[in-house]
Order: sequence, then structure tokens, then C-alpha cells
Amino acid sequence: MQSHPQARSRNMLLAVAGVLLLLWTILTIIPLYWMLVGSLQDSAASASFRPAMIPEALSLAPYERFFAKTAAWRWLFNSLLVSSVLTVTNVFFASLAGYAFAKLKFPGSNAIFWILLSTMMIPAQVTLIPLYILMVNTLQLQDTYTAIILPTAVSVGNIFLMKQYMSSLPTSLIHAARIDACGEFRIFWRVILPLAKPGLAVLAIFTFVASWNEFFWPFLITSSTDMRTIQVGLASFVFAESTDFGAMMAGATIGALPMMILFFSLQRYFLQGITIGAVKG
Amino acid sequence: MQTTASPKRAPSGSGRFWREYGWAYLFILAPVLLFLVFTLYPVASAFVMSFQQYQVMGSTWIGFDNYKHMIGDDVFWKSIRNTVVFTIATVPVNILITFVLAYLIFQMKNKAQTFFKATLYLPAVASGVTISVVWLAIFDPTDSGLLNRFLGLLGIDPVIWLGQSSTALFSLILMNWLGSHGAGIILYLASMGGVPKSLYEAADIDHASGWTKFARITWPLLKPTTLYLLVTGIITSFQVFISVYLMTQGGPNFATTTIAYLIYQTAFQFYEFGLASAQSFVLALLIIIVSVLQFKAFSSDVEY
Amino acid sequence: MKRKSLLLSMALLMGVTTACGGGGGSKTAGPDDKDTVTVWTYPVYGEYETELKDRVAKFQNEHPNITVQTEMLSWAEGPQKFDVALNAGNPPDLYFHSVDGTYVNTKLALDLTPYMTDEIKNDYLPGTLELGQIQGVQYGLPLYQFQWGWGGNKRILDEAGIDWKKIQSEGWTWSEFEAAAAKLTGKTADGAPQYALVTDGSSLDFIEMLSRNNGMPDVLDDGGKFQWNDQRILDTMSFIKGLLDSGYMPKETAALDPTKRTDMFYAGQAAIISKAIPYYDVMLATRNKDIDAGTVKGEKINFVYLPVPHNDNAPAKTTTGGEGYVAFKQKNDKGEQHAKNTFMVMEYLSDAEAGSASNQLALPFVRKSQAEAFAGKELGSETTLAAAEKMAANAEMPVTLKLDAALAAKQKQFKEQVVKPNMQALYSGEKTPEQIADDFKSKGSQSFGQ
Repeated sequence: MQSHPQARSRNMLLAVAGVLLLLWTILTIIPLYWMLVGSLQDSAASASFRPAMIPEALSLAPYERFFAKTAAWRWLFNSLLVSSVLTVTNVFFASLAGYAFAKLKFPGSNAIFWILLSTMMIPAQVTLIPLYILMVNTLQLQDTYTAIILPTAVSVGNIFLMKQYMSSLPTSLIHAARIDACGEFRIFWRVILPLAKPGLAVLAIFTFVASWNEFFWPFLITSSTDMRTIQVGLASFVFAESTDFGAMMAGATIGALPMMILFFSLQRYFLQGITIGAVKG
Repeated sequence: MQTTASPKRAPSGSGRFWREYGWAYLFILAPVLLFLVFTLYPVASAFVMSFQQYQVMGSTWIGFDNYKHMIGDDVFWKSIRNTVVFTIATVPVNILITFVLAYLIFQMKNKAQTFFKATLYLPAVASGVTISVVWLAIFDPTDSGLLNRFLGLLGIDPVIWLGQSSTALFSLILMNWLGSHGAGIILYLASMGGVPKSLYEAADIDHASGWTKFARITWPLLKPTTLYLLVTGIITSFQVFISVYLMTQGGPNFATTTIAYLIYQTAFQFYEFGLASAQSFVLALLIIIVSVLQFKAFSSDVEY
Repeated sequence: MKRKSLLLSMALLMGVTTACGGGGGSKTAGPDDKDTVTVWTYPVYGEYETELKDRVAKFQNEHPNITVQTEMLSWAEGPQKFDVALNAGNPPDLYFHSVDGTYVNTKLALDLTPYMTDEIKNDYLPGTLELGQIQGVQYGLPLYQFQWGWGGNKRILDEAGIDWKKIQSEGWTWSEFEAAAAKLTGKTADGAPQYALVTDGSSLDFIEMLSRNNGMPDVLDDGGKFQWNDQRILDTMSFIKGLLDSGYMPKETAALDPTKRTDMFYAGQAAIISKAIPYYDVMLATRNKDIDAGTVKGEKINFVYLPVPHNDNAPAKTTTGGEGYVAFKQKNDKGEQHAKNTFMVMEYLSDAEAGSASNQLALPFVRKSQAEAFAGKELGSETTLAAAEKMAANAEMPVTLKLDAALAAKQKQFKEQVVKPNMQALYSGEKTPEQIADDFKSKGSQSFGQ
């Protein structure tokens, strides 16, 4: 009997929380909605066109124009390739290094970690020129996938993320594994990685989205139409005399679609993975 | 971080040393190598540049002139002030918003959780350009602007949001508050899911209150995540550039000129790469100091 | 096994390589040796990309040993990409832009003097070749001579009884403009405010065009003497302040961006837009056709190209400049033959057929051969072309062509760091014209030492 009012007030709280969340969601989703609605309204040849929030008529014409005028499939392929490779390298190397920094005590780990982290604090604008000189003048790698991938193959931010995440995993299991005389890599591969799945899924999504949205570096380093990523392609996609707003939004939607698909497909796996972390105690 | 500060010395012989630590070094080898070539080398070059008048065909060494020039520049100090104001106004509020949203979502049933996580993360997939187009429409200074129409309903006169010194920076802050918190929410939720139920059950047995459970169990275990969000939040907010570039170009009257925007201007509008490098290193120093303070404040009881 | 998987992953990472960019030709290359010329350009007008492709294909047919690699940049991000490449010592051989002192300063701009034959020089109409020179040295070949004026909405001008034909042929003064502005300000049919003139809050072209019409060619004159430190700049700003205070210009001007400025003009909320090129004639005609065909909604606008009004006691001046290909060498110099090949491509892309650019943009031609090739095929309306011709007669050459690079850079910095914030403060009412004039004077003497 006693639990009744408590349960009711909890339900009330949940309802309020739900409403608040819903409002916030609507607020933040507006740009996406605008993008979608804009891509479905025909707006040919008008610079000043702004889509109506509630469209009168829908049309796929902007998509037709976008695909007809661009090498969009090739750009999507490039983005997919680059982002996939970057996701694999980042997840693997960042979790390896993050694990080492968090759980393996070795001389100099503090110093090395701080040197890595402090370079994150230098704005990209000034390192662009030296990096460009290195990549183009020294290594002669302009207009290649390698050049797009290498500088962010494993980002310091991701190592930091993994270090933080790994440090919340139970140390006791590692000790147990060590007593069982497992090699360190085997411990990492067999014990840590499975434990860290939720973190890895998060890292994978973040890396994929970030590399997919990366614009400036691929833009600088590629020059042929065939090597552009979708973001670079979108930016270069300028129509004749005026910007075709509808086709631009169609492009933006096409550019965002693969990420949504990836996100929703990882989402399920990601929810399963959460319980695995709860062994500590 | 702190607790690893005093690693055991390898007792004797390098063989033993490598047996004990070799793996750790091997684990960080690839990232460190990539880092040396593609990050440290450009950073070092930029550092050298900060003492030069940069020229493609041969730079001239000018010692501390760039730094001196920078210190004497009013705009530089104004940009520091703006950046600090922006950071103080956005980072803590954003973390609070993120935490509250994540906490609310955590109370939901599985399906609702999935829905909110997905929808709140989705805005991250929209490109910066799309978002700025929408926000420019929201801040439209005429009576037809979304925000001004809303104010009109409340009987308030239209505001020239981005056009006057008094509201421009605030407008960018507002835009940042309402931006995407999806990434932070997902991180918090992952950590919240990682908190063992047994701890709560044990607390229930002790008749601990909701607040005690939060303060004693939830919050301490979420500290690494909070620290991560704080440090990365500060780094990105100290380097805020895109929204300034797309929305206000630093104006009006330098009201929204941040250091990162000033560095961009110095480098790409005035071709003063040496000076831009000098500004960057001052910015980096500032962020490093703030980050170290945070690590100090947080790491006392964070488990590593 | 563990080590292997690690190595494998690293190999995977390194292995994702495709074709590498090739190096340049050797220094002793002859005229028939293989060479590649890179061109970075922009969508200058609607058909430019298509036309350029055809022309490049033709050129490569005629010169099978030369490959021309073109890259179409977007106006928004292209300049930054070029800046990085230039300052890394690796600019493209040809870049579409106006000549700029900062380019010369890098010592990578290619001096074209040795390649300019008399035949080429004589083909250029008087006053046009100079648009590709910095302090008398040729670095670029102008493809067209652009000009900026103001643009009017014919319906609104007619309804207010403004004799725009007279303005086109004789120009107008500030007081004449103020009188006209009073008639042009009111309400649109649907009750929205209608302004006589709209400009945006962050561009500098408005103040530059007006001060140019008050006896000041620019912040500096072409001798490097600081201009914006006396009554003339104060008068110019008081004039603008007057337009704002009388409601002839929107009170939100400080917060308007260029897109919003265009929007207001298109929506009939502004009779005159503060920056227009003759090409608007062609562009708006296309838009009107689309409105007729039903693919675009909106009011049809007939374009009236207008000169910028001048102060009552100062001569009318038209803001102009040249854009075209600028040639560069790389830090890793590819040799004399490569420079010759670069110039050959450059001249090919600037020849009689390239007059299509001026023609499409409804601008006066820069070369005699172009005028001949396109005689009778002009695209702009006769009225606009005639007005553009009249305005070209008052052309004021950009002072940056005469200034040395260091001074030009200082002027640019002064504009960005002193003029721009002050203009925004003027628009938003945060500063008076007097305060701004004082600020110009003191900051100017710091920057230019005068």
C-alpha cells in the first residue's frame, strides 16, 4: 500500500521529464527538419528562396538535379572508404593506447599523455601550412586517400576518450587475467575489448560522423573531382548563376543519410553492450 | 592520472624493464609515431614560425617581435576577453544541460531511451552550413525574424540580435546552448549504464536517500566522463571559430571576435603566419593551464 | 601472433594508397616535352565550366604534350585553399583572381613581361592591361573589367516618378539622391516597410563606393597618402547617418548580411540595392522567365543599373577592377619551358573566344579581338550596356595596383580592423560620425605614419 503514492509521483515525474525532453528534442531537430523540407520543395534558380516550414507541395526534382549535375555516387564512395578506414584505425589504436595510458603503469606515461593532449590545444589554422608542406611538397601525396586519412588516423581526442573510458573498467579483471598468465595483448584483445564494447561503439560512431563531416583538410588536399569526399563535393556544388537551395539541401540530406543509417544500426548493438560494463563491484 | 605518477623503477637490467613495460610502449607506438610526424612536426614548425616574419621563399628571424606586437594589440585582448566570456557562459551550462538530459533519458524505458538518444544525436549529422542558415533566419533582425516574432507576441520590440555589440555575443552563446548535446548525452548514458546495480541495491539496504545515492555513487562514477566533457568542451569553446565565421565575422565592433577567429584573420586575411602562430601558442598556453587545473580539481578522487 | 595482428593493422593503414600526384618536368625540358599546367578557377558565369572544358580539350588537341588540369573552386572556400597552397610554396600555375600585392610579395608570382608580345599588348583596349599589373609589372591578364554600381527596381522607381534614364546618362548628386530617397521610402503593397536603399552591415563596398564619390580614391591614394583623415570622410559618414536617421535605409542595417540584402531587393522591400553589376540584367531576366514559366514564385523585377551618387562638389567615380588569370611559379621551380607553357595556356584562356566572359557578364570587352568576335551577340539589354559604358568612362583604377605590397597590406588591415567595426557601430548607432572620423585619424596616423 505504502508504495502506491510513491509510484504515482514517480510516474508523474517521468511524464514531466518526457514532456521536457520532447520539447528540447523538437527545438534541436528544427535544422534537420528544415534541411529535409527544403530538399523536397522545388526552388529552381532562385537565390532568395527559403523553404516554407509546412510545404504546400513536395517534389523530388531537387534530388534529380543534384544527382544529374554531380558525381555524388563517387563522392559517397570516397567518404565511405575514408570514414570506414578512419573508424577502424581510430577504434583500434585509440583503444590500445587509451588502455595503456589508463591501466598499464609505465615510466613517462604522464609526460607522453600530456604532450599528446597539449597539441590538441593548438588551433588547426596555424598547423595547416606546415602540414600541407609536409604532405604536398615533401611526401608528394596530394590528391590521394592516404593524404586524407593519415593526419587523423588516430586522433588525440579519441585516445583521451578511451583513456577516460578504460579507467572506469574494473582493474580486478586485468589482475585476474594476469594471474592466469595471459600475454598483455591477449588480455587487451580477449578481456578488455569485449568489456569495452559500449565505449568502442560510441567511439566508432563519433569517429565516423566526424570524419564524414570533415571538410577542410580533404578540401585542401584533393584536387580532382573523383577524389572529393561528399562534404567537399557539396561545397563545390555551386549552380550556374544562383545557388539552387533545394538541390543544396537535397545534397546535404544525401550527405547525412549514411550517418543516420549507421547510427540506427549501431544503436541496437550499443544498447546490448551497456550491460556488459556492469561487472564491477 | 595522479596515481600513475610514481611507477616502480625497473629493479635491474633492461630485459626486465622491457618485459615489464614493453607492451605498454608497443601499445602506444603507432599513435605516437603518427603523432610525431603529423602533429608534433607541424606544431614545432609553427612554433619556429612564431619567431619569424614568415615568407615562402625564406623567412626572417625577428625574435619576440610577434609576441610584442600581439601584447600591444587591443583587438587581441578584446578577443581573449570574448573567448573567456564565451567559454564561461557555455561550457558549464552545456555540461549541466547534457547531464540533465541524459539523467532524464536514463529514467525512461528502453524504447523511449532509444528514441531520445537517436533524435537528440541526429542534429550532429547536419553540416555547419545548414545550421547557420537556420540560425540566421532565427536571428533575422527584421520583424519577420523567428525570434523577433516570438518577442512581438510578448509585446517586446524587435532586437538587432547579431548587429549590435550588446547582444551579438549573447546570440552566439544562445545558439551554442541550443546546439547538439547528443555526443555528451551518449557518453553520460554509457557511463550511467556502467554503474553496477549492486551498488544501488547496497545503498537501498542502507536506506540511502535519492540524493545520497546520486552524490555517493552516480556522480563519482561519472567523474571521468564529466572531466572528459569539460576538457574537450573547453578546448572546442576556446577554439570556437565556425559559428563566428558563418554568423558574424567577428563583428560588430569586435564584439564576437574570438581568438581562433583572430588567428584565422591574421593568417588568411593578412598573411601574417608568424603573428598567427604566436597568437596560437598563447591560446594553447591558456587552454593548457585551464586543463591542468581541471585535472587537478577532478583527479583527487577519480579512479585510474 | 599478437605482434602480427598489430603489424597487419599498420600495414593496412599505410596501404590505402592510390595514384600519387606527379612531379613537374625537368629543368632542361624542350618545347615538345610532356608537361602539366594546373589551373584553379571559379564558376565565373553560368556556362563557364562547360565552355572551359571544351576549350581545354581543344588546346590539348593542338598541344598533345601539354596536359591542362583544371579545378573548379567554390567562391566561398576557394580563396583559402589557394592561400594555403601559395604560402606552402605550391600554388597552381594559373589562378583566377585579380592581381594582388601579397601575391607579388611571396616572390612566386610570375613576371609575364618576357612573354608579352606586341601583338598581345596591342590587342588590349586602352586602360585594361594595367588591371593585371602591380606597380607596372604584368602578373595577370584581365579576362574582364568589372564595375560596381547600384541596382534599381524599375517598377518602384517609375511609381515614384524617378527619371532613371537621366540618372544613367548624367549621374546624380547626394542631394538629388536624398530627394529621390524620400519618394522611394514608404510601404509595400502588403504593408511591409519599403526602403529607398539597402546595404549590408559587414561589407565595405558601400562606404568605399561613396567615399570614392567624395574625392577619395581609397583609404590611401595611389601615392600612398592617407586620405580618410579630413572633412571628406566625415561628410561621407554624416551622409550615411542621415540616410539611416531619415529611415531611407533599414534601421537593422548593421545585422543584414549580403543574402538578406538581396532578399529585400527581390521582395520589393528596397528600391535600390547598394551593390550591383550589369550582369544582374541577364540574371533577373532569367528569373522573370522562370516566374512566367511558374517554376519560381515571386514578383518579377526589371533591373535598372544606376551609377553611385557623388557629393555635390566632387566628380562621379565608378568602382572598377580587373579579374582574370594570374600566373605563378612554385618554390620548387619547374623551369623556363614550364613557364612558357603556362603562359601559352594563359593566353589561350584569355583570347578572343574568352571574350565570352565579358559578354555574358554584360561588361565592356577588354580586347579588340573579343569585341570583334562578339559584335552583335551582346547579352545585356541595350539600356544597361549603355549605362555600363557611361560608367566605365568614370572608372577609378584600384589604388592597390600602384601601391607597394607592404602598404597595400597595411591598408587592407586598416579596413578590416578599423573601418569595418566602425561602420557597424555607425549602422547600429553606437558611434557618431565625429567619433568615427577621430578614430580613423588617430588609428590611421599609427598605421600609416601620417
